[in-house]
Amino acid sequence: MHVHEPMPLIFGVPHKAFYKNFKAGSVFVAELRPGLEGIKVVARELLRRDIQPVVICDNMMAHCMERGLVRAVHIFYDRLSKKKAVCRTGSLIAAICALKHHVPIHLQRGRAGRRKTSLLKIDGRKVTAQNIKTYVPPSEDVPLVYVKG
Amino acid sequence: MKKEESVLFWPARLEGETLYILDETKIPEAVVYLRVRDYRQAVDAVVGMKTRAFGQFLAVVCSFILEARKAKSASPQVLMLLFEKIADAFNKSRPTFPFEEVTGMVLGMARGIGDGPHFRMALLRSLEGMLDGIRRQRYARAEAAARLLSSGDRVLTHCHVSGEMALIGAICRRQKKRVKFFATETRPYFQGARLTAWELRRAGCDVTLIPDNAVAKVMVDKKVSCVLVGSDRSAKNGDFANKVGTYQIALLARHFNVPFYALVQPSRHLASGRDIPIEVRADDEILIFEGRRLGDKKLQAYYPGFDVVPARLVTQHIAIHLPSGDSAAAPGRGRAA
Repeated sequence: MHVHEPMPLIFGVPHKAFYKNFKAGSVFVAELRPGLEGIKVVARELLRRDIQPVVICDNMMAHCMERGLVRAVHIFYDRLSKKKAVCRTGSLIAAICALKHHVPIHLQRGRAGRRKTSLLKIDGRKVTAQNIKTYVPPSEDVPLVYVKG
Repeated sequence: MKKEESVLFWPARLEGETLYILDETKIPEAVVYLRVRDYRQAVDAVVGMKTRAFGQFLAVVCSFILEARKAKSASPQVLMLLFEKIADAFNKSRPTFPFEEVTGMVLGMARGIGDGPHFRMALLRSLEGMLDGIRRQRYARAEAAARLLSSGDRVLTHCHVSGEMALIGAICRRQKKRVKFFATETRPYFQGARLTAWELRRAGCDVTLIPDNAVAKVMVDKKVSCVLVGSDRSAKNGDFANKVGTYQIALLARHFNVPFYALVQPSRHLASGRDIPIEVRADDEILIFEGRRLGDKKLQAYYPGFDVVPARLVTQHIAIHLPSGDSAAAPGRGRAA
């Protein structure tokens, strides 16, 4: 599909409470490799609330922002301290890209429960040779100075 | 094929009146070549993404050579008409790769030969000679990239650079430089997982595959010391288009002060990256893998195949130049999508 109107972007798995106040017609949902929780969990929750998820790959966030297609970015923390939030890996990308493109960032409580999945598979199917070394960090720190809005 | 060369470095070859195009979608399970008998089949291979990046360039040039080899008794005028049809078919195949520049270069070479009795043979010699030149240039570019790397460097790359990254790795090994590679998996087509990681490993390099969402993490943790990517199309001002995700990596590299190097093929045809058309591909290419739907049927997806990296984010362009003629038409790199 082609996208012409800006919409919010969700990176991460929100806590159930998030959906109660979330209003949008359509929303970008990052797929969240390797477990695809964006597709499997977040999109399903949105569909149940008649919000249309538009899935993007995790590498498309900056392009969507640069083209003016992202109205706001939502990321989610597992743990919060005075200076940083511990978030799902990729949240730092979303935050920095939003900052660079002057897109408001919203940080909210997220849901734990990342699916343990090999990077060498997608939905249980092999994508490449199985003897390739992988590195899949589960979480990363997002300095709160990046989070505005 | 030279010893250090990955099969992906030169993913098409002509044997008589058959063009063999490497089916990149079959790697790593198998190294299989499509047997192409005419230019229409080569266009189908491009549209179906059986080949991409530098493979697209080869598919175009080799299709002209293939048809010229077959047209033994054609007059120069008939051959030129056929060449114009070939150019038109490729120009309409996919939007982001500069097919018009490549076909325009071939047509320009053909017109420059005139219409004498040896037109066909002269044309074949010119095209085959040009390919030899490009092979040398790509080797030179890999050497130049390897010179930028020092022992201990950890290189992050994205998507696939048509065999050049494996060559760079091999050159570093020959020079006794200990260089490690991180490859993004490059969703949705997994070129990083299926092609880059596979060929780097085959070349004996230390390579680690990461998800696309781990790029900031490896930068903030200083696991990578530089970024090296290919490009599909360049503009006059140094902006370039590459597989979607490259812009995101470039932004992060600048943010974390990580040098960002790009293998490019300069072009005089477009003023800036804003002029590069971005191909938007079908939703299902994200939502379906090997025939299996990954989520609910009601899901939609947005799949821009490429993005544009502004020149200001590039630490150094490593360019390919034709020995003569229009360097704008020499898509040496590579790449994908």
